Amino acid sequence: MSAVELTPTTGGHLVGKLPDEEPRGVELVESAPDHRANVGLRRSTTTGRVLRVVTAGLILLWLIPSLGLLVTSFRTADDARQNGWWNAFRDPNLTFENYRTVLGASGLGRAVMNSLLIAVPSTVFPLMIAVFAGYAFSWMHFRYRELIFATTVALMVVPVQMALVPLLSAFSRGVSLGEITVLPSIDHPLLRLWLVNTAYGLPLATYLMRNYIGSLPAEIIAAARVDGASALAIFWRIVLPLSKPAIASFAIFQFLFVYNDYLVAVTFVGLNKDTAPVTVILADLVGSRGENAHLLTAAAWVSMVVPLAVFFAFQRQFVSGLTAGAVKS
Amino acid sequence: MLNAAVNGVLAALAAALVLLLCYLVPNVLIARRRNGGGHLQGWIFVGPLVVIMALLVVAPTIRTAYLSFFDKTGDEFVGLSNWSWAVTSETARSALRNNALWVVGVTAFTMTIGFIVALGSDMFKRPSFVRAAIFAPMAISAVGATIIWQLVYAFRPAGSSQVGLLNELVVLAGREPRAWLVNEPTNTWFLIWIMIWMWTGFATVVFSAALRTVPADQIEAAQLDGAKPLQTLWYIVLPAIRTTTTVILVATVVTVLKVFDIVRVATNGQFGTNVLANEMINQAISRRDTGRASALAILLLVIIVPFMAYNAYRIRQDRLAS
Repeated sequence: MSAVELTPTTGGHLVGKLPDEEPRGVELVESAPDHRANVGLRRSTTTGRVLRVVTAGLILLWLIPSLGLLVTSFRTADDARQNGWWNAFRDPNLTFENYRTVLGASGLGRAVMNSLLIAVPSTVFPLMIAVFAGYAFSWMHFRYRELIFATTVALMVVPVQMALVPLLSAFSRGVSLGEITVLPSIDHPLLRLWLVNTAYGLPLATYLMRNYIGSLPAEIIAAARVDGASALAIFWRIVLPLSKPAIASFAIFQFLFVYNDYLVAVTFVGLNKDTAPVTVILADLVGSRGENAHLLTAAAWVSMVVPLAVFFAFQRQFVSGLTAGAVKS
Repeated sequence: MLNAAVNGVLAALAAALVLLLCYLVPNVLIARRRNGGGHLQGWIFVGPLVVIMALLVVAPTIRTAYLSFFDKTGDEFVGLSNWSWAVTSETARSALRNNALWVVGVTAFTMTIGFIVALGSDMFKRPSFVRAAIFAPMAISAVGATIIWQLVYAFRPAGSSQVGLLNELVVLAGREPRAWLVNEPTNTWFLIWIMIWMWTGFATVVFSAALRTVPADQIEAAQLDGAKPLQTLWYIVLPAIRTTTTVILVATVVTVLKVFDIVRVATNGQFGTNVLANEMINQAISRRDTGRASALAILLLVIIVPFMAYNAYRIRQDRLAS
């Protein structure tokens, strides 16, 4: 029984295995994407043909609405209000005006920048913390090591809703016990979002990193130790470079998740045009400009450009992160 | 705008530096000790993780549980009254009913369609392209997906030309156009479809990977015995991917239980479409009732935990069996 695997070590497939297992390398599941599964189905059989037709129909169903969005975004306001987007094929009256409006006046250009300012650090910080921790959980010894790891991964269960109310209050008023201020209030919207997104991305990140780093060949680490390298040096020169696939997987997954997030952003930052990310601005546009489909659709496409580009560029890493972390969400 | 960008980047770099120092400084300090630090080093490497999880996940969760027994402002102890509201009030109950619908609807459809596409994609010249088409919606935000489908569901009164694809098809079929997102009780299903559209790619990709691990010898043996394709599927393939199926199921259920963006943006829970996560935010922010909001949040957690526990149990069983 073999799966398509990429990296050092053990065979078998890693789909949602939990931490009490031996660490296994994170494997990319589609490194040979056109390699077909062997499940006794051939194109030439009736079942095969039916399946093909059904799948083709599903693809159309999946793609057509996005086509509608695209076409509408290039139509004029009058056209969009009066009839359906399919008419644009008969009578194209296309314009870039919607995009110009949406990027400028509606503040979407700025929102894209905000989204990036939120998403990139929210990806880098959990990675940093998780890589250090993953190394410690795999190759260092300290008391309660397994307990802490198990707890961290178990916390994947907790939805961010659990923290919303207390954190909102803590961020705006700080945390104090009587007269003593334990934690100061945090006003900086970016910092709030970085903290929350980092904390809630850490369980999955730690799980992935620990599994991957734990599966690196023990000989390399042992050899480096014999040579007298310090833990930090081993970490920097050996573990980090070798962990790139796992880092890439999580990075793509987390980046898309945070970039597309609406709940955390709208709760902790609200509708300040200066700091709001794309999702918040877009949601607000739905409320206030629902009738202006031509603008709304252009805004929607602008919001999708970055994530779609990242997704298509790194599709494999994304898939691998998903299958390895199938217990997240 | 450039100013803000620069400020943001500088803040990020500063934060990164602070974080890095949390590891480097203690490391340097203990390296001077006689035994080179030993197990203290482990603590340094996991220190920030523990601190962040404790402060931002564990502590708030405990606090939320605590607040659920207090009144709107969190000052007065009210015992179980928030809880009784959470399970008996019509608002909460209708939200819970909808959540149940969402779970059943999304899970059933995404897993079925996902499995069909995972199988069907291999019937094409470029299977990965086929899967990418179904998978791409996972890359966009729920807000964007809602806009896409709101356009499809758009309603104009009978007599005027339709702008939404669905009503156009309905009109072409000779029927009356309808406001799909307003008419209860079917409107929830139109929202559910949006999530199905977004999330089926997940099932497709994971099933697709799992299908590649079915033992080829079992397939060949079945074919030699004259099994038809559907029989092979039912008796050999499905049992072989049972653990994966459970994992997909649980991941989907847990995600669906937390649905918020779609409902918030499309209807804000009106017209009978409300769900738990949306009501929780309504209570927390619009009504400023931290007691009820906390009760709903804990309820959400309580519903999620058994699924995750079952998942862990199934995976352990599978590991013991293999």
